[in-house]
Amino acid sequence: MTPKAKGIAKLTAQIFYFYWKRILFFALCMALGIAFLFTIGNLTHAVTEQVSAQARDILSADIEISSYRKFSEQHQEIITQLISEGYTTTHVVNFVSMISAKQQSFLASIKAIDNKFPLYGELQISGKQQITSGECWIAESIELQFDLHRGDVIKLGKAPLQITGIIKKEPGRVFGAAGFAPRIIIANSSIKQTQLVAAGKSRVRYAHLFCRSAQHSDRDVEKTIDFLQTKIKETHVRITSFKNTQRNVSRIMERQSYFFLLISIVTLVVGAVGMGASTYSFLNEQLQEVGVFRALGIESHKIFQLYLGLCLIIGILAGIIGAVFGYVLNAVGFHYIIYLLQLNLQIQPSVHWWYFVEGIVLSVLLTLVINYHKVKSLASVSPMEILRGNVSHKNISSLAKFTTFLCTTVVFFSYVWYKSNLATASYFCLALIAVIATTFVMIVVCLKLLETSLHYLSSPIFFILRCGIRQLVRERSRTFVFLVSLTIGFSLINTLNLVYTSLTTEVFSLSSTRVPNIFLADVLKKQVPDVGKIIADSSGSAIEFSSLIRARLKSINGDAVKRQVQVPDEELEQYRWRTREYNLTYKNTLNDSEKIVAGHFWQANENKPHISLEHDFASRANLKMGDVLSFDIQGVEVTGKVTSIRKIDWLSMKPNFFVVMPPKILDEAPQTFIASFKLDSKNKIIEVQKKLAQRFANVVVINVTTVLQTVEKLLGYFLSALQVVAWFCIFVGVIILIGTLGTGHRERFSQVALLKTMGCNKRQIICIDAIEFLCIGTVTAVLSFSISLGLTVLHNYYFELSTSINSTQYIYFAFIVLLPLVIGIVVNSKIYRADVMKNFRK
Amino acid sequence: MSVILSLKNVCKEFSFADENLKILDEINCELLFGETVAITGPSGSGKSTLLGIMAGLEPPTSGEIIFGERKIHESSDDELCFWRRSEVGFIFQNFRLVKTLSAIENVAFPLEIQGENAANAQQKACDLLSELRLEHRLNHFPHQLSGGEKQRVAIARAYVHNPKVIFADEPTGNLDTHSAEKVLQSLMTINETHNTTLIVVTHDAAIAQRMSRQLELIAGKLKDDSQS
Repeated sequence: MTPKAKGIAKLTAQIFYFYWKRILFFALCMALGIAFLFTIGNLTHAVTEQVSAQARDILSADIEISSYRKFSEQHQEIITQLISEGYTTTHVVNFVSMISAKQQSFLASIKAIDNKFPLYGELQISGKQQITSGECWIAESIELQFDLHRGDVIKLGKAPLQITGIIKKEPGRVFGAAGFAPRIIIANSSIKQTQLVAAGKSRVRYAHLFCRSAQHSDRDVEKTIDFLQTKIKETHVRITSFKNTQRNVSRIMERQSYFFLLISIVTLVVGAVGMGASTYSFLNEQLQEVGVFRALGIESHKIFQLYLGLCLIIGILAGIIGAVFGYVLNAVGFHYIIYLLQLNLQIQPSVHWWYFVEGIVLSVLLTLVINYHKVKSLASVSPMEILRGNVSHKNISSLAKFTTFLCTTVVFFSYVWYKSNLATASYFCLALIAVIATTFVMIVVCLKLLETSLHYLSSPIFFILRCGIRQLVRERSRTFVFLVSLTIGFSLINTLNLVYTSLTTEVFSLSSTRVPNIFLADVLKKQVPDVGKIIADSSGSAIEFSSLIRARLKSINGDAVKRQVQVPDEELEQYRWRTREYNLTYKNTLNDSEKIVAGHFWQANENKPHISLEHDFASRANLKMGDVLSFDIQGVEVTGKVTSIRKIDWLSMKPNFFVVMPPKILDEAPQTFIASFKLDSKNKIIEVQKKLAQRFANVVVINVTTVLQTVEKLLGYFLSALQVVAWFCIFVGVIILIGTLGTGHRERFSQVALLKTMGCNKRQIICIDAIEFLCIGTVTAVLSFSISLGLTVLHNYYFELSTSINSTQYIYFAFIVLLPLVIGIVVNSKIYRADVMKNFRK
Repeated sequence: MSVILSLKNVCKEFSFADENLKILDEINCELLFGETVAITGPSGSGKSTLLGIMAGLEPPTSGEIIFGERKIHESSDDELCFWRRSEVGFIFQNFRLVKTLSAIENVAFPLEIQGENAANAQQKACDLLSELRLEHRLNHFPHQLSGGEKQRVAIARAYVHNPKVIFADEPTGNLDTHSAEKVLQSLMTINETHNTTLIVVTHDAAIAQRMSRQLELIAGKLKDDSQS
């Protein structure tokens, strides 16, 4: 280091030492955003790491072969071959069914196992540890909700099953608690006795789980997977390895983490705005020092290095403080976030140095990019101008401002791209620019309106109001920082609230309307008249049944839909939609929740094999009008041409289908029937469930309200997790408000002393400030509500939801209005008590 | 001429590190209506403190300050505010203009505090600023004015509500000779027009000489030079 460089470094250190409190505040503005990025990075890392470690436990096997159809002889031969190679296997059957017990009936998710289950992971049962025919284990939630205990008997189909254990822990459930259909485990040997599977269950999932022997390596497992992929051609058979599970869980976790990442970035944006504005005024205050330095012979480029060095310190400090906060958050809030995400994994918090480096690099980059032009302009100012007092502040050009904005956006864009993907980064940055630009324009308009209002407030009674508004509109840059930093945070949290309110209101309005609230499935053709009668007796009106035929897409325009060993990520969605099992139906007329958006629906008695596809399904599976599709319906091939595309209002809760064909084409196919209807009271629902469970054990009755309540609960958990992060965005805004008021204390002190000298009393001064902060609060509330309402309307337009505002929004509005007032008055309280002469002496 | 402000046995002490420092020691004086008074003294002699006590900005440790019939030392904070807003004007060494207000708004401000309509107040401010040849600077903000201009705005602000007394603390202390002369000229002219009592704290002998009476503060005691 040359003596000159040493001198500059020493001077930088001295400036830092002198202004350390303010520099700490600049760093603190960004530190919370960095802290969240640090926490989320570590949390995602910990989950992914644990998922990798527990992948076999999650699948409870090394390999799983599953299908919604019974395995063929050829499949059985392959399974036998694997056993002969040393693999251990266990057979599992999954389906949902109604359960009758103690005069109650409810829907349950049944898992039939043998004694080898699970091959990996832990199945923790309180009670008898082995399960045999005629016995069952029930989920804890069933025990609590339906007052069923060990020793009680439940009825599943035709089989009475005695409860011998309570399920405490089960492998394979990663996300969400027990859903709307809680788990019941039975023995494979009980299936026959239930007579449910034979009776034509629509969705029975058969699976063979395999566990490698001690001689097998991971490589051998991969070879076995390759062997299975080539041997089993049918797309209805799914071959899953523990690595697929790992990939799938990681992908879901990654998607969830994107939401947190983006909210944390918004927090960082708010922090960066606060830091930028504060350092801007700090650097302006440095003009006198710069004048002295220049007069003493320090060159312009050294001044540049000096203050850029200071910015570097701010960036590094922000990174370090962020990492420390992040570490604390990780230690304190880790399990709470895991709980809110409803992750059923044994995960311990961990810290990785890489996220620390990432945080520091990001904060340093942002600090340098944001302050570069300001520092450059500070260094270029003439010393004589400064010392003459001709320059009280040095503004940067509009071009420099634009370049700063552009470069900052590029930093954020690159970071989001690096952490997620190009599309997310592009959409996010565009949305952020749009929100900031809108906020900016709206602030300008609001301030202009307030300034105009001054002309109409000339009466003496408006003196306080006039002074408050004048203070607000004249301290424009400070007001801008307050408004931007508070508005973004409040807009974010309010958008989350509004979207959630709209979703829940839309969904729960269903229970108060004539929209069906009960779904029937798995009704056999011969049961339709009797089931219809039971429903008609309870609901008072006849119901319509729709046929349901299970099918798979066999070919598109003659090209077979084949199993693919490796599917690129970008084609994965299309592959999944093409190879999944569909529910088809046949009919001649559309119901009132369907609308043709392309082509024409066929006339009655149509013989030609037309196909009508649901709009979203068609776009996801990349199917178009005119495509010739062949379906495999339980081994029989049915071919048709796509002649219409329909849009469906799924919230109508009517039985609707992705694929519809004319009756004559499908009416002989193996089928079950479904129906939906409305029952007004809880008692009627219980009565119908009981009657159906007693007479038609195979019929599944789904209470939509219960399902929606579960969905709302899970959605609520996720929203709470997002809100926790979003509240910190507001916290950053509050820090900026407090910090900016704090750094302007000396000036405000002087102004208050002057006002007192001129005859303003303490009450008047407090009122003037109160008006200013009340205006900031009101403008923030109006802006954040307008922006969040705009974003919600856009969101709801896209998802075809109607926008609803609940009463808590008004309380929230009042909170936003009052928050700056309370903070402002509390922070300035010392100033109001100030001694005028003390101030003048200073 | 009648007495407008009288100080009786005024003392002011400050505590510094467990030690009492007597800044003003038994000050007695009477200021007459319409006279111009200079308070001089070396730096740190307590001139500004004395001015502050006279203006009710700081209470004396002991003694009485009487303005007309009003006992300043016994008045409440609100009463003092009311008194200052109606009967007192201030001029500071470093101008102390409200930076968020334009020149005309700064001058109109004392009238607005008194409860005058903003439009009327601005009209009066405009007249006074024109009198001080600042009509071209009405809507300029403090940072857009030169030092001399700022002080002339401050003078206009001090006189706009026709106070009975003006307290000026080193009014030319921050100005170059040329600007200082211009400002002083303006101050003397406007004071003559308004016939106001002017109390100026200064260490500039030339300025002190232009006042009708000179008081010197030495070692906490006030010496009336015009009587010697």
